[in-house]
Formats: sequence, structure tokens, C-alpha cells
Amino acid sequence: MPVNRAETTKLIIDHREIFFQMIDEIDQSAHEERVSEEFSLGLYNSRIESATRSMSEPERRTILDALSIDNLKRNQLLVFNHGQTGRFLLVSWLREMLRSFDDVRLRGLTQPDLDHLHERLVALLAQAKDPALCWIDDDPLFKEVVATVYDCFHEIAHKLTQNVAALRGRCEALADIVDSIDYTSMTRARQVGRALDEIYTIHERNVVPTIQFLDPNLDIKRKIRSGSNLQTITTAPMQIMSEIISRFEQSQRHRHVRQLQRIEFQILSLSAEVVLLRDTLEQYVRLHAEQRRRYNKIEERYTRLKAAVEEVQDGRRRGFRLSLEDPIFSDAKRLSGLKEVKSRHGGMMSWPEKHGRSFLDEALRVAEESAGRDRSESKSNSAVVPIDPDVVKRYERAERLAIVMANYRPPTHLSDICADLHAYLSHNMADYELPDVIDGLSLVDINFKTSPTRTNVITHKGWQYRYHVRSPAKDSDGFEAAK
Amino acid sequence: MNTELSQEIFKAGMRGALINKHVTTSTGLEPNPLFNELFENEEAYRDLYAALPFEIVNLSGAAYFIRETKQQEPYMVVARSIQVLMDIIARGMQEENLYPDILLDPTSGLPREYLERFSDREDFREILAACGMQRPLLQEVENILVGRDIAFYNDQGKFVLTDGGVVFFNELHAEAE
Repeated sequence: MPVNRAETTKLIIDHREIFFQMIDEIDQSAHEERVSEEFSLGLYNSRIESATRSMSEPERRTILDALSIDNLKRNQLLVFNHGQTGRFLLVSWLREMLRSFDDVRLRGLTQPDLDHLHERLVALLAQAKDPALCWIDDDPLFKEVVATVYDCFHEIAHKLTQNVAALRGRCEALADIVDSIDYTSMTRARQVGRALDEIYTIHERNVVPTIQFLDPNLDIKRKIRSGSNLQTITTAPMQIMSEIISRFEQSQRHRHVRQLQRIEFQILSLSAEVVLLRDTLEQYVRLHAEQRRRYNKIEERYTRLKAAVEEVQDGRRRGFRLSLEDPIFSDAKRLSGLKEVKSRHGGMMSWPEKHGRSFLDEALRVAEESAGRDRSESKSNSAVVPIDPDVVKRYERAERLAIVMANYRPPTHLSDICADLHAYLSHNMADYELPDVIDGLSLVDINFKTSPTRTNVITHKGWQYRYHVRSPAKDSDGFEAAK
Repeated sequence: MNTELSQEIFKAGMRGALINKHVTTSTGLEPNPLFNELFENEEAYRDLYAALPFEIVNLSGAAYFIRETKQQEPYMVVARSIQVLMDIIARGMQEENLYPDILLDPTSGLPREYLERFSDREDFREILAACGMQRPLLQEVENILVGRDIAFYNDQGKFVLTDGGVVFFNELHAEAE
């Protein structure tokens, strides 16, 4: 059943919670979705359904009739209703009215909005200064210009007042979230992060541009499109407003001057409020900046650490660990000398005073004598340099290994070079022993990456070799990198 | 100098632990008598330990520790482990979108499950191994950070840094303006 426009508007106001929920969902969504204020039809119907569930049938029926899309359309309360996408848009005055019920939901003016107002003032000044304009009360063109000046001044005053209320409402709500910080809840801690991000955005995108707009002495260059030309404005908006009023003054239109000045002062009075708001936000902006710097520092430190670790994992077991002298640990020097409690690292030793001291002294005496004898023997034998037969054997063995390794071809998909070498050498070298794997590795012409966590054991003639698995390091193209 | 407290200070120093400004008790955080003892007699303790030879180090007024000045083994081993563990935990939290500040507030803290989750990460394990820590992250955290009073688990079982831990963490991760 059709419901008239006045009754429909009244029911919308009475059941504004339905719309608030949808507005809030839009405001909390991703930025791309936030720019449009379109509602989803499916969501709208389900919200109405759940809001009216507990009502009596006649009351429910009236609301469903009034708030139905067909009825809203009939009463010209929709900009459009797109059946295919299931989306619709309420007319702007209705959207503004709904948002104005609570300052938190008001939308602040951004730089493009303020630029648009600035452009209108420039156009208005051009009209007021037009030599063709006759400043005669009965002249139709003059009447039009006066009406446009009032419209424009009123609109700027209205938008800026609403803007300030919006910024104040939103910032207070966000500040409450940050101030009531509760790190015991992980969700809450994340909310605080988002609130700080939003405060920072409001500060940069709404508050600072508004202050700049309201400052009559701050001349900021703005580029505006006038027809097909790109024009640069250098005069501050409030300065332009004063010039327009001066034009009325020069033409002795004192009644208009008084009224326009009243609007101008009302607009200027907002700057004190915006400056106060900015000062309040400063502490949160500083907090945000501090968090951002901490975030960057953590990122930078971790990247450096990871890069340093990857650099040493080049297959050489000896350089597998990062050196304590590595510059990456320079910050740790603050805690250097902190006692290492492992006994092998010199934990507190309390030598038994009575029973053990004599044994220790004797052991030290014998060790010292022995060391002195070794030193004197090595001095007396320094002239003779015999060739150690073991050294000769080692050279011969190394030559045999080099010959065997010359025919070694690592398989295409090699995951463990040591295991593969072990298999190859045990088949191709008669007197193969486990240490040959290590010597053989140095003869393979591929770079290896050592896994710090994967280990393997190979066994041969009752000996075991436990090692960290080495696999070919890939270059940036994914190919095995040659040495 | 209080004999009983000085022995406790010596024990804490010899196990490589921090002597923080506050200690956790069943009723919450309370001033640490060992810290106060050191603070009030700092000069006397400095002279005493210098003869051993040790050095009493003050961590920005938040904690003390005892540095062995003539250590034969590399004296950076523990310090390195602490730095790496803090870097890894901070990174893990960053990836979980958690503010590091929760580590600094004794009433909040990082739930243990997050540390367990970080322990399973291969990239973290590789870094630990390259820095001489072979055990899972959670164990290393408990041995090195909790065991040395650089961090503790609060009454809700969440991981929090002690006064000295906070100082070091901030020095590592707070960028100057």
C-alpha cells in the first residue's frame, strides 16, 4: 500500500537505526567501497526484516510498506534503484539528514571538496568584478549575482560548520578507542591500530586542508579547470570572500555588506575550533608516527638479519653460523658480558679448598714441565726437516680422489650432495673412507646451500658422518649456480 | 650493604640474569629489593665487583646486570641470542598486526600460542640456527629471556618484558625522530 512522502520520511527517522547500521558498514569498509553511499538491496531488506520481527502485524505491515523500495521510489526519495546490481542510493538530503543525527557519522570535507568551494568563490569574484554588471537593484543580472553570492556564502558556511562537527565527532570517537587502550584483547589492540591510522588520515586529509582554507593570510596555489584551461589560484578563499564583500561596499550596498560580513565572521570563527581540534589530534598523530617508525625499524632490522643469515648459507659448513663480530649484532654489545651459564663456557667454578687443591697444583706443575720440554726439543730439531710418509700418502690419496671425481656428474634433481657423493665414491673408489666425501665436495663445481635444520647421517665401515643437508643453491633464474 | 641481599645479587649475576626494578609477585608488580639494594649502595658494589673482576652495569635505570670483564669465551653469545630473539618476536608480531607495545605492558602481554606459532616457522628456525640456537623458539625464549629475567609470563600466562627487557627492546626497535 502506498505511503505518502511525509509519513515515509517520518518512519525513516523513527527507524533510523536500520540506516545507521548500513551507513556504519559502509564507513568501516574498504576505502574503494566507502566513496559511494549506495546500499545493497539484499542487506537493506534483511535489516528491515530483523528490525520489524518483534512488532505487531499491522505495525510491521505499515513499516514494510513505507520503507519498501517501490514506495521510496514513488516518493522520489531515491536517486536510482539498479535492479541488476541490487543497489540503490537515497537522495542526498535524506543521506545528509541521517548522518546529521550523530556527528560521528558526518563526513568531513576533503581537499577536492574544499578546492571545489574555492573555485566557486573565484567564479563569484569574477562575476562581481565584471564591468558589464550594473549595480542597480532592479537589474535582473544584479539580482542573480546577489542571490548567487548569498547561496555560495551560505553553502560554504553550512558545509564548513558540518565539516567541523563531523571532524570533532569522528575524532572524539577514535580518541576514545585509543585512550581506552586494552592490550589484553588482541582484537582491541588491532582496533587501536586502525583508529590511529584513521586519526592520522583525518588529520592529513581533512583537518589540515580545512585550516588552510580558513586562513585568510595563507595563499596556497590551487589549480582549477576553467573551461578547457587549467588556471592557478593563488589567493586564499577567505581573502576572496573579503574581496567580494569589498565590491559590495564600493557600490554602497551596506545592508548586503553587513549580512555577508556576518556569514564571513561565522565561517572565520570556525578556524579557532579547527585549530583546537588539530592541537588535540597532534598527540595521536605523534603516537601514530612513533608506531610507524617502530614498524619500519622492526622491518629493517629483520630484513638485515635474514639477509645476513642467507649470505652465510652457501654450503661451507665452517661459515654456517653468523660471526659474533658481525656488525648486525652491534646493538647487542649493550648486554655483552652477560654471564653464559653453560659449564663449558666458564661457569662459576668453586674448587674444593682443602681436598683438591694439592692435586690441581701437581697437575699444573707436570703440565708446565712437559710444555717446557716440548719447546726445547722442537728448538733442537729445527734444522732437520724429514718428509712425513703420512703426508706423502695423503697427497697420493688426494690425487686418486681427484681422478675419480673427474667423472662425477651430479644428478639433475639433487637434494643431498653428501649422500649422492657417498654412493658414488663407495662404488668407484676401492679404499673409500667417509672423510673422502668432504674432500670430494671441494671438487664439485656447484655452489651449495646448507639447511640449518635438516640433518642426515651416512654410515660406512662402522663410522658415521652426521651433517646438515646441502643442496645446490639456485641463482636468480632458478638454475644451479656454478662456483 | 645487606649480606643476605648481596648474596642474592651475586647469585642472580652469576646465572646471567637481570636485576630489574620490579619483580612479579602474587599481588602484581612490586619494587625489587635486590635492585634497591644495588641502587642505594651502587658505589660500594661497583668497587667490590671490580676487584673480582666484574662490572655492575646499569640499564638506563631500569635494571642492573653483572658483566664479566675478563671472560675467555666469546662474551657476546648471550647478548646476541637476546637480540635475535627480540628481533624475531617483534617481526612475528608485526606480521600478525599486533602492536609491540603489548610486550611492554605487564597487564597485557603476548599469548603463548603466538610464540608457539612463531616456533613452527621455518624462516625463524633458520635464523635461530645460524645464530647458534638449535632449540625451538619457544624453548629458547624460555631459557634465555624468561630464565634471565628479561621477560616473564604474567598471571594470565602471557609473555611480557621486564623493566630491563623493555629498555633493550626499545633501544633495538624505537627509531629516533
